[in-house]
Amino acid sequence: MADILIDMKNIVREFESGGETLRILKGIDLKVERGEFLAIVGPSGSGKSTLMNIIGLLDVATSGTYIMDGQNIKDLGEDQLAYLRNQEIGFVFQQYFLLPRLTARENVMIPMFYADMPEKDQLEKSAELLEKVGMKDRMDFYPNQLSGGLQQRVAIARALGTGPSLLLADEPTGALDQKTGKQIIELFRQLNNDGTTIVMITHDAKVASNAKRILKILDGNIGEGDTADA
Amino acid sequence: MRKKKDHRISGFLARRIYVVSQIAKMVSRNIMADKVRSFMTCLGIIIGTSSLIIMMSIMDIRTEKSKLEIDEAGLGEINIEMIPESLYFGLLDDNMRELAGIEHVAGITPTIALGSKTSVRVNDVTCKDVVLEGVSDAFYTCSKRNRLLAGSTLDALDLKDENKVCVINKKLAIKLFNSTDCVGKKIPVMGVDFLIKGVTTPAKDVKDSYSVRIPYNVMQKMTGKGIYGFTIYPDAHKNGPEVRNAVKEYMDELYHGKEEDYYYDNTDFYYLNQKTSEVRSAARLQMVIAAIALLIGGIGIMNMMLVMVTERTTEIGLRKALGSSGKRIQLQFVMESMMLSMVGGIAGVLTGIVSTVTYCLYMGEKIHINVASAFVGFMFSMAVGVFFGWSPAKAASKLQPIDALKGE
Ligand SMILES: Nc1ncnc2c1ncn2[C@@H]1O[C@H](COP(=O)(O)OP(=O)(O)O)[C@@H](O)[C@H]1O
Ligand SMILES: [Mg+2]
Repeated sequence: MADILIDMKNIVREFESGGETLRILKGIDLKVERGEFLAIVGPSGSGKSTLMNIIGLLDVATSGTYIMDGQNIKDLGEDQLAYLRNQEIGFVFQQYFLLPRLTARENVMIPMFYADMPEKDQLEKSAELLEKVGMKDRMDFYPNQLSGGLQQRVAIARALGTGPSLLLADEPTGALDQKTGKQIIELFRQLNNDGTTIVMITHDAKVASNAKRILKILDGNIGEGDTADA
Repeated sequence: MRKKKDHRISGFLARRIYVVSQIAKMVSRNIMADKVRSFMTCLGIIIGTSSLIIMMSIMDIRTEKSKLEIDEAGLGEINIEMIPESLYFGLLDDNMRELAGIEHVAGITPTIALGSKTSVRVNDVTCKDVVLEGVSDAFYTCSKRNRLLAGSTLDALDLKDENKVCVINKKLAIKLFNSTDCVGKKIPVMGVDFLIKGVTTPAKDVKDSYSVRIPYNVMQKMTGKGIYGFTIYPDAHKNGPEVRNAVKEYMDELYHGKEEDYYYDNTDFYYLNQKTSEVRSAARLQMVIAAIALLIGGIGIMNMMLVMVTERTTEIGLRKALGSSGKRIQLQFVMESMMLSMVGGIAGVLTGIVSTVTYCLYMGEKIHINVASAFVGFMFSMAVGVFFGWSPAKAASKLQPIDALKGE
């Protein structure tokens, strides 16, 4: 039997807005196996980010069940959720979200700090990860001294700090030029080859074609897309 | 779930210490990184604390001044005079002791005057209109009416040993010796030589006559006069009325059964009451001003803390997304607001002290700092700063990470 990392059934997400209820996700079923590289595509406003936030435990579904690595999310307390976000999930945002007052290396060290890693290990591991994303010579730069592509590399290094089994990326190349975007995707492929499960949102078909499986969200419903290089 | 390798620091306590020290490091970096914001946050605390100290200290100085005025004018003294025919030998030393034993009495002195003026002659100078009085040591030690210019005043030993010593006033010293530098010299009073022990002058700028004061028991021996009048000094202004009532009760007891008024209470508390009510309303004003200073400072601190946390909701969301527990975020903000409040509080106390000292020097006052206000101001600023740094951070740390990230 395949090792199922993410198992979602009938996930619904509604928002209250101006007195009316908007149903953004209308009953999503999603299974992701360990080791997969999945791309989620769909037009803007279709609910991709909303779904991703629920997968990444940054938000909770209005209804439906979400079983992550065999555990029902509903049964978990605040501290257990924090632990999963820290240990099992690496999140890469479209807007990078680096803390401006910290250097690249210090930004990468944040999740390691929440993992209670000794400082020596934090320094070693952050250097190793920044080297891996090609940022070895700019570890002590502040975010505003780095281009968008380099900032996204730092964000990826940060997402990998605690060795998560699941890497989530919400339009990671959305704000980058094509060439830089390509490098980032190449990085993802490498990580996937090393065993990291990746779920990536994009609305760029070319970017999506790098994934092993593509799902399409349309108007809050999910459907199987074209399967690339299966 | 798959078992992951545990990277954590081993040992519960070691981990706690590590977490706190790491957060402290991060917090001090945050504070240093945005100096303008940090300074603005501190400013409310500095203004609140320092203005409290300045106001309270200045009010203290003014209150002390009016208290001194009361003392120098002798407004808090209780004066009793008796009709000589009413008691054969006057009051005795036992009566003095009993009166001195009344609660809240700091001291008592008989007042024995000659009734007429006497003359003193030194070398070629004769001074005719000298007022001679017999008093106890309390006349000088319990009252601020007279200021000592040279030598010392009468003490308990002088009374016990019935020393032939005297304290004269500056006016007489100038008249006889042309200077106040006459301590140790002798003057003849009613045919007996008295050693000049000290020279005083009235604290208030009032007209005084030539004066010689000697131990009252010496005076009694020389003149055969009894004690038919005394002055009692209460230990504090506020206790004046109570002491006065007790003294009157004692006197009534003494003249028990006699219908007529054999003694007069010459005490005049009119000005004392006026002055003390002034002092009391000044104290009330002081409380109001303190409350306002703390309120304004508190609002400033509160405002900056709220702005700080709101501005950083995104940071809170990000930290949660990266796996921080809500508790750790709260700890971060508590420590941050505590450090800011502490720095601001210390700066505020220093500013307050420096400004007050400057004021005192400029106004020529004795330097005085109201220590309680420094303490209260510091603690209050800390409390407000920590509370308003912590409570919005607590609220933000309870948000879903994505809502905080979006800055809601
Ligand atoms: N917190 C929210 N409150 C109200 N509406 C929201 C909220 N978050 C997302 N939405 C709405 O949900 C829809 C889907 O958003 P999103 O998931 O970001 O789309 P996508 O990422 O596919 O572009 C959008 O119409 C958006 O306005
Ligand atoms: Mg989106």
